[in-house]
Amino acid sequence: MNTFHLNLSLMTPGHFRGAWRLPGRDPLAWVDVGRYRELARIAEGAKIHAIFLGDSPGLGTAIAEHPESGLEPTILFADVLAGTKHLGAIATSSSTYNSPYNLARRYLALDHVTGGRAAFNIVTTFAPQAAAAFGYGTAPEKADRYRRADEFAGVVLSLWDGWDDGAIVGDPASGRFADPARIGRLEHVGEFFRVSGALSVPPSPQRRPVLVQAGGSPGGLELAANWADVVFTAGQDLDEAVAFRADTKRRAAQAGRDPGQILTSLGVIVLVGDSDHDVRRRIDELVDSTDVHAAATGVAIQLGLGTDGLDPDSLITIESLDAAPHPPASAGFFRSTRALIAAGPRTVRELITRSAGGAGHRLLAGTPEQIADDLEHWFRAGAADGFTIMPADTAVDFERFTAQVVPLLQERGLFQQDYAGTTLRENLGLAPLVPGADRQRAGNQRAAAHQRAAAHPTAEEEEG
Amino acid sequence: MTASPFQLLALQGDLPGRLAAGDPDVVRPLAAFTGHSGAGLVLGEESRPLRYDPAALATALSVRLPRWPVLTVSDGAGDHPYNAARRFLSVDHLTGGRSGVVFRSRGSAPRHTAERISVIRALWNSWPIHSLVADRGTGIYAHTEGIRAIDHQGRDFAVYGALDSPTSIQGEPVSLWYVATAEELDAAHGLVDLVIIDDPALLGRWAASAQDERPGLVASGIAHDDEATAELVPLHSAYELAEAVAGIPTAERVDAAPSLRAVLCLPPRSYDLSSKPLAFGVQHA
Repeated sequence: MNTFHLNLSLMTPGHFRGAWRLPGRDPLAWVDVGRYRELARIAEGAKIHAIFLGDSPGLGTAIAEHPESGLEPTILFADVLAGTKHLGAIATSSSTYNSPYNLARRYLALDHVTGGRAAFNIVTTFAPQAAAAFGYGTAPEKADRYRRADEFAGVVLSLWDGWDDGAIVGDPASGRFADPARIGRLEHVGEFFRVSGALSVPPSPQRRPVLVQAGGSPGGLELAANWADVVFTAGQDLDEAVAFRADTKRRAAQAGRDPGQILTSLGVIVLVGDSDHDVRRRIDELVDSTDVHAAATGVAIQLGLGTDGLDPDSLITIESLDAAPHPPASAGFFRSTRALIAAGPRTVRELITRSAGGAGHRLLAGTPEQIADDLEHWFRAGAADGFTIMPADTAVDFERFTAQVVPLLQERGLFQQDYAGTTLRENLGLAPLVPGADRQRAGNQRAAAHQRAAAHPTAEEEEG
Repeated sequence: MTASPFQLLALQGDLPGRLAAGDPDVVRPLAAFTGHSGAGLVLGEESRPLRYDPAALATALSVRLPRWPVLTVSDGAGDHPYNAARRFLSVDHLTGGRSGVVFRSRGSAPRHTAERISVIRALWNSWPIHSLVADRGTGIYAHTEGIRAIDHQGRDFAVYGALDSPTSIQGEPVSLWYVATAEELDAAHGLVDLVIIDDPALLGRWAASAQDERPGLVASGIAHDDEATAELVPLHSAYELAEAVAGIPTAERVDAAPSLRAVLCLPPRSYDLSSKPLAFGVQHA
């Protein structure tokens, strides 16, 4: 492909969560559906492939300082996409705290009411408040969460793929509505789920929602290789991002898939300024709106350095990372940050600024030309098939990116001038789905899992 | 009550699918119906398994039909109450407080359904929207003293913490229970705004209970001596829908009443969580 895809996050107030404190921002924009509808229309005007929202259920103590996840994404997207015609939407849901039949039905409904523009970003959710909300003392172990996610994805894809083309007969004369022989029943008995039956709704215009995966642990990589159409990933270091993309495609090929049919979407936090001075001023303004000590604690947890918090001006070396006393909260963010620190130690404050208050995605701050140059450079180097853009301050950077950066990318022939098709799958350049292929893939996975279980009845999978 | 109660139009047959696809023959008569809404649309009141997720469909419809209240059926199968509470409160936010939830047991024991409803309503009330202060000077976004952990350890559910969406414009969605037994009807007292009854014997039991303690009545296919707040009307075809819509009386009260709760003249409702622990302890500014 000579062009890349662009997804755009609706996260409000922005990746810098403290941005609501800046003058003129609406602190309640995060629950203002009118604002989300407006952002969706702006995104569609710029020919953005899909809007995106991460999600983790549960209310955390951070609400004292800033909003986190709020409205349920599938419900929000059913609303905002009704005002658009081409824009896709990537909603996030937890495989740990949902049942696959219900979620399969809900996402397929979203896919129908949007005319085939929905995607399901499957995540396993480690937040303690989510575990508490669902009656657990702590979140299930990561290895268990990912085994469940893998089984979950297989069940969901099998259910979505239950109806063959031509299953609906619709013959008024005979009264025959559908041919039951062409509707496959799933008979699934696994470690976590028993599902018998079929969905009662036929495939959508893109057959089924696009499947997105976002975890970077060994279990996450296996999940992506087995099932994902799109892998949402973090990258602080170019060489590491190139290697990750190549590894993702290699793993997919090993799993028997066409490596061209798994796309990586690199998360990039974008801050758009008028000049170098304006860029500097805005970074300082946003960092000032951030509680640096709380962010330092977040960095420590993300990297496995403990929960006591770090001095923002302390130095993190590759040695201190490799000797971290705890497993990292996010393997993908750890991998991305480790690659950065391998090139030289960084202070905690630098990490917070480079990743816009967190410890994972890269902050790309610059003028529109500088941002376009950077995205072009990373794309041409083979770091990604596209980018998931996360505005640093959504009230400003969402519109600046679409109005000032996207036209430059279009002029350079790097980004679409118009939508290629009517469904998200077509617009992402993914091949049409063959009826029965997902079911076949899931069946093979089930058979392999049973074989593994029979060969090693007590083996525990290793997870990072 | 008035002689023309509110109509809850339960969309069945191919109507949900046609509305999901935006079929103009079905959407147009509903969209043309502006200026009042003496009726609401009920999604999910069909035989199982459902074809479309009712909440997703309700949301899409509420955009196409912004005057229409939407009510979503919840039978709880495989649906954890935290997920359900969150989804239905999101629908209420997106519709500007024009939504309700019809709870059904579908084989579950009455106490199970009652516990489920209780957990969902507690979650809807766990984070009062007035706690959002967004004080730029201090950096305090929300006063966490007002946020309660529902701390529920019940027979069938364990749910700790608060919901991650604040209360809606109508406080909480209108809650209805389609009761099938006397035990369910008794359990509904004090728990839901309205009960849906299709059995004359249950109607008698409802009528015999104290007027100021019982939930309001939605009558489904039974005579009710003008005591019902609303009537549930099953519709199976575009023709039946058009007929029903044509028969809905105009009501002047609606333009001044933004929420479904107000349209139905239901009192404000909340769930007392004062005995529950603070979700995050006392906030230190």
